[in-house]
Amino acid sequence: MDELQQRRIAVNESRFRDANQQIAAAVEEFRGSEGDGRFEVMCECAIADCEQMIELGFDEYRHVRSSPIWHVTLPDHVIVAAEDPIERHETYWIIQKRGIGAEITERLS
Amino acid sequence: MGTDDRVEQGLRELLVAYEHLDAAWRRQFDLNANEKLAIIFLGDGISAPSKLAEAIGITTAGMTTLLDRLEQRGLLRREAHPDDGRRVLVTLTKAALRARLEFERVTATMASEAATGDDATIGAFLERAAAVATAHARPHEPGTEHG
Repeated sequence: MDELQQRRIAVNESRFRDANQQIAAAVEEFRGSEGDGRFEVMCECAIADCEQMIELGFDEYRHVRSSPIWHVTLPDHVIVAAEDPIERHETYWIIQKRGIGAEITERLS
Repeated sequence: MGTDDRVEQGLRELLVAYEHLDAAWRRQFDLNANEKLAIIFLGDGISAPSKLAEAIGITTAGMTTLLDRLEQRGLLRREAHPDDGRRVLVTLTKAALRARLEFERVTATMASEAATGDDATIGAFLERAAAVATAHARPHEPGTEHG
């Protein structure tokens, strides 16, 4: 995979992360302390036709956001040439960017 | 052609080009003008239906119909407040965000390919021009005029 592709993937995944941050903030503000604490975020993968959502708890989501180079995806939604799965849960994985993709992802966080 | 004429002509050409771009984008994602605006404003962080209706310039009843259509097509999600069923939170789905990103990709390409090195001046000019256009796009209120 060339550098341009890695950059494009990193930028797209960062956009999905930004949108999820917005969703998380809006849901938390909307619900306050009520509700079961679970909500849907976008799968942050860069697979071209993925339009799927993932249900997470707030604590799980905060854990994903504890590193600027992590993304939450559906299981197997990994671009193996640019990222590594570091946590495999039943309904979602956490992937870690590497190389130029990690640099861009961190810079855009 | 003087500088003023050139700016005016450039703006006209840009607006016409935008019309074509906008039409092509809406055709690609099968969106009408208000549906497109809803996706843009939702992406900007407006998540209450009443505020969306105000931003787009339609009634709250019209907003409900519009949100129904977008929800049926999987472009947004609605969540009722746990204690107050009248309050609703609207958020975009990944499908809608992909559509929005496609539009932003074009504007990013425009910005990079048309860059002249004087981004601050051009950016400020475009922001002011957009503000003037927005003011003219709003319905006239009694006793107000757009000069």
